[in-house]
Amino acid sequence: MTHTHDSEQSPGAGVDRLGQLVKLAGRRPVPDAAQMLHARAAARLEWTRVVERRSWRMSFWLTAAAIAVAALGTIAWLAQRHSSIPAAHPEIATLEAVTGPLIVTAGGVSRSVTVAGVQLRAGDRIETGADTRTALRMLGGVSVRLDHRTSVILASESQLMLQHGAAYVDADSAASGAALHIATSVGEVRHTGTQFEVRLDGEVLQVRVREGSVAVEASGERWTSRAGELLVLARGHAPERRSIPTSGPLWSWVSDVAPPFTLEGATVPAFLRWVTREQGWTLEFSDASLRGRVDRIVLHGSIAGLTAEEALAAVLPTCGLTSRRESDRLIISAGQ
Amino acid sequence: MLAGDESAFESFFDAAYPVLYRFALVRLGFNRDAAGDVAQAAICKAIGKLRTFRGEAALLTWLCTFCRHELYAFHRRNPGRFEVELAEDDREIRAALESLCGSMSEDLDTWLDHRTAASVVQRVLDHLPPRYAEVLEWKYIDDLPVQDIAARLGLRLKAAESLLTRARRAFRDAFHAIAPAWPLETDGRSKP
Repeated sequence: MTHTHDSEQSPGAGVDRLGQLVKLAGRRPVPDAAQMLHARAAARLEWTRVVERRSWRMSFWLTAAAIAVAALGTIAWLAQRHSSIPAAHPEIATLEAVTGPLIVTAGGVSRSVTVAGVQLRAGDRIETGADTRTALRMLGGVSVRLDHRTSVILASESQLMLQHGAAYVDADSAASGAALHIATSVGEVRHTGTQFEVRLDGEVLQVRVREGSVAVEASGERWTSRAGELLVLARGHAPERRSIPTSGPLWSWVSDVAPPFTLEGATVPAFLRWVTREQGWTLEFSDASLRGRVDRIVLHGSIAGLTAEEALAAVLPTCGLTSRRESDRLIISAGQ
Repeated sequence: MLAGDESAFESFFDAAYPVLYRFALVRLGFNRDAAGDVAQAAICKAIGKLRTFRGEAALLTWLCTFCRHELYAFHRRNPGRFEVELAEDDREIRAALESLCGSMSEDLDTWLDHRTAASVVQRVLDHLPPRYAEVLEWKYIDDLPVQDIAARLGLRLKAAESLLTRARRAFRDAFHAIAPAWPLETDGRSKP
């Protein structure tokens, strides 16, 4: 290939009109990160739908050709094949708790939701109001709670897009192998098996880790944040880390919208594990033999409407147990 | 992309959405929210019809058709809001932009105000290969020396100079197709 140097760029060649014109026009405007996130999610859904439809169409024609040749039992097969086509917008989460009306937008249509149990699909946007919080359970088992004035898009079973507000993730590694990736306009948060909160306020991203660790990626860099740490990322500023408590008022909103625990048939250790995870406490027994004894106790009844702390006070006496708190430690003893 | 290639989807979206956004932005009075919504609707519609794309038109031209439909729909829903007459929407100019071989002989100053001129320049950049548009922006907007552009692209200096030369030439040809009377040659040099 012949290389010809562009003489118009030569120093001293005079005014470079082309350069001036490009400079005068300025940088091409780009959509902001939140718009990109939202549009990408919507486009991805449409693309998934098209690919699935095409895949089905191809399967259909291949099958039809086979029918022409074999001419055997095809109608039943096709019906079965058709029924196995995955939904274009699969259900990926369930609303587990709702403290007031929230808005769910799907396919450009918004509806108000006031009750738990509603199935949510990929692409749905959930918006909580000034007095509303909600808890969702992702298909993989991860629990997600949304604070007041929060908007998220369920991009997929493993990805949420936080547009603003705060999301608390409880990915109990003992109960779920699924990782959840939270994308925001400032950065992305990844984890496996942990409890953390992601809060987006304008261009400021705050990640509070209560248990385990998370990785945050932004502007091509990656930071790891561990339990008891707050990481603050803001455009144009150096990342900031602070120590935070893993229980107490900072996390109290999370308890307000905790998914209900099914007491009936649960063991005492399972119940205590739920309480301590909800409160950010660690569990201890006053003596080792007590731990073995409570393993065999099965609980009956309901704690519907009670907070974790209230449930603890209601349930333990029925098992002949008491508890006391020492900082973040919950210590279980035999009752008097 | 139709075969389900994830990276193909990502590349398509990253290339197409910002262009559609800018296309809508200048036609919606630079209202960023409205432009984002229109561009999103357009790209979703285009993806839905992707298998009908036969390559007779440039992909960008084809995508902008969807954006135009969404703009009309937007204006129907919001009568009187963000109506912008854009020189680029002139059939002749549009043809020039899209085919890069049209003709228009008026002086740029006489028919474009600054913002419209800027949008036309930006549209010309959108029609260039993305790498060309990037290097022109780095060179003339960010004032990056060619050495830095070379480093950013992982190229040797000569290769970066060559790329910049090709980018300038492509831009000049495209822009000349729209405004042939507008001199882009450097002052002090005779026109070819």
